[in-house]
Amino acid sequence: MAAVAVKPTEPEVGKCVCPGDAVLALPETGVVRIGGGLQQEGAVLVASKAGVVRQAPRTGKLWVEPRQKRYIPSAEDAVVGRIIDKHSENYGVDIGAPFRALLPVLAFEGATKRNRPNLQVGDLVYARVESAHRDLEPVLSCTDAAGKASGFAHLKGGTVVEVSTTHARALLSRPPAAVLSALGRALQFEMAVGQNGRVWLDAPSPATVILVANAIQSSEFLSPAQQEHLVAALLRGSSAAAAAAARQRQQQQADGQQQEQQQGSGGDGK
Amino acid sequence: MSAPLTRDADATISNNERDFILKALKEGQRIDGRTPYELRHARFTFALDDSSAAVQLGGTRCLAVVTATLDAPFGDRPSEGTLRFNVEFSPMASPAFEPGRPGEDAIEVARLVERGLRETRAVDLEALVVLAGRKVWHLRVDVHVLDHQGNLADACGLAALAALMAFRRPDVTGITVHPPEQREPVPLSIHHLPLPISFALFEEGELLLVDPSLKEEAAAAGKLTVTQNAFGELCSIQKIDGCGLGSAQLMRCIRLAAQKVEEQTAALRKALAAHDVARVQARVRRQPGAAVPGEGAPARGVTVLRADQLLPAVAAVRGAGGGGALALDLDALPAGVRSLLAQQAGADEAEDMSEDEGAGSSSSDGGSSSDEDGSDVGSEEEAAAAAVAAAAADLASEEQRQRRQRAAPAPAEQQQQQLAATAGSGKAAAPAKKRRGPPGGGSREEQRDELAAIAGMIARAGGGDGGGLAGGGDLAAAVKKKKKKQPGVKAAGK
Repeated sequence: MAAVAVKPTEPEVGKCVCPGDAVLALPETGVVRIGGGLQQEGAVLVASKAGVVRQAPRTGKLWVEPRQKRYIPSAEDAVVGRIIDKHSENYGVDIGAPFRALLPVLAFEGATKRNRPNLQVGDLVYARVESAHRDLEPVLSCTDAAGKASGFAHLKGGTVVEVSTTHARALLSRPPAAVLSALGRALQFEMAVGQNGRVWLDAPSPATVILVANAIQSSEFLSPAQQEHLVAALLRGSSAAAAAAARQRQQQQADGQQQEQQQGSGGDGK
Repeated sequence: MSAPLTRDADATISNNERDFILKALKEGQRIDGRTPYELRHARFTFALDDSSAAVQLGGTRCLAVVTATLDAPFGDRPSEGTLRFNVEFSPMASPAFEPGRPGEDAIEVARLVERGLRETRAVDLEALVVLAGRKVWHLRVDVHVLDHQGNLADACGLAALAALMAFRRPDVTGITVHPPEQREPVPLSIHHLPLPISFALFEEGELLLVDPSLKEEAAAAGKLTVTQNAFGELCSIQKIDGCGLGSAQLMRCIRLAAQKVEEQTAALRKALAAHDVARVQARVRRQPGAAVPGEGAPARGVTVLRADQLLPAVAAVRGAGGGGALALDLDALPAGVRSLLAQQAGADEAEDMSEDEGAGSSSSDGGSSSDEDGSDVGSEEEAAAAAVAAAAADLASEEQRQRRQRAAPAPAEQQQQQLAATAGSGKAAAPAKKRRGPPGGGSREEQRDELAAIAGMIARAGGGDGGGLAGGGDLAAAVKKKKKKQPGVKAAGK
């Protein structure tokens, strides 16, 4: 192993690192949780990607945040996946990674050999990456470590929008991203953010889903204040647009009736 | 071992999305915020070398490149040029695209573009003939898909048409191919502008939307592409698979397409108009520092006269006349330059129109056809007059600008050569005009006047900081390349 000049005992959160940079000298005792972009090399955590060092406030999990769209699975990530094939023991799931992931049919809360979930090809699941060894297929689970569902499930209805993995992490951060709190104050919707950059959204009306999707996708490079502005503008626009759309629909219906009448009379003439 | 995902993994969608697209469409909504009959805003980028156009439709991007070669026509059509289309789906555009030979989809799109543009005779192929039965222009349009976010048919059709409209081929007179630096290249003659408009069909054709995105394409039950021109003439219809379509619904699509084609044509024309302005501006170099012709540009005889060589002539005029019109006193020029002028006046008689036999052989790249053989001889005065034209054009009409050669941006350190190159570029314009008249010394008065204009420019330039001009800066006059070795005359360009 290359000699590491500096072995920081405290991670420098927010620091920009390059592949090979030492991020943290592992303590003698205790547990350090790591996410994507970090590798253990002996007693040191080394960055494997260029990016910014981040740490989750609650769990203390460390990761390096690169700016990339392709998702590389890492353990304990929450992801939105799409079932692409069905076997007796496992589902094959597309999580946007270079390789397909496996979701055991028993990895649901309360699932048994007799009582197993019935997922079809093309269905969406919100799952946790249970293991992500680089030489094996990633394994997913729809339960937390204690075997409880805790939010992971088959996603019914709604739709999925894609954002960068970086933006997905920003949406998951605490306190919540400005765009989400602004949307939450005005609208009712459900969402599940996968760290693989897929965001599942559902709301009673498609118009709301489209508005939320637009706000989320447009907010990646905006400051919190700009995000608030964006949401306010979209909400104003949507009420105006709804009125315009209603007018247009009426107009179209009227046109359609007219055309039908014309066609009818034309046919009679012949 | 891990199983790699199927290649079209990103092109297929979840059941949730499929249902949502349909549900939203029933309410007149689309996931990207458009209404069902709304096109994505098309953005065009044209290359300044007249060869290519890039089109961006939302996230879909296509690049079309036109290449022209001069070659023998096909035996059965001796008096027609040819037009070929080729569409390539780059593997960078989508994980669903594999490298290698064009797949089924690529061929389908290529055929669609071809049917729209060639089989409707949109491009006048007879105008591409140089010598019937011997030499015609063969045009090839390569469309590359750079990013796939749905509706490649429309994007490729639009890119191909935009590239053909922006394309300029070298001008040909007799058997002489004029490089674009010498003569303004000519546009193709295009009779009408057929554009494809695609529809995604849902619910057995009951619901439809225009310009589908990638997900909408994946969710659709069928697809229909209507190619029309802005006059409302139907050029082709493509309906390959998927759900059926009633005649009333088909007629509705055609009416809708007519309206959308008008929109798209207007956008294309607007972008082309903007490009024409940019194209002219690119050839006008107001700024010192943007003037030296690039490596590939043929270096026509461009020579720099130093200020101290030219200035005595100006000074003499200032001393003698005083006020009024400025004239350049040729006798006050250094002896070397004067002898050059005299020599040149003699050489003018030898000048004739047939410039370059070799240029007929092929290729649109123009290249270094006519500068090496030295057959395009212009007098010293004429060259100098060209310099005037160059300088004056910066102040004068757009029309004059259009005739001038374009040059690649100059490295800053070549400042010394800038004026020279400006002169050289003007030269492209001036001979084109001048050769019409009798060559050589007949109009010496005229040339004198034009030289006087140079003097005026110099005087104005020098007026600002007096002797500073005489002290250091190089002034330019364009002289024949042949005379490069003349003492006190420094060659620039090549």
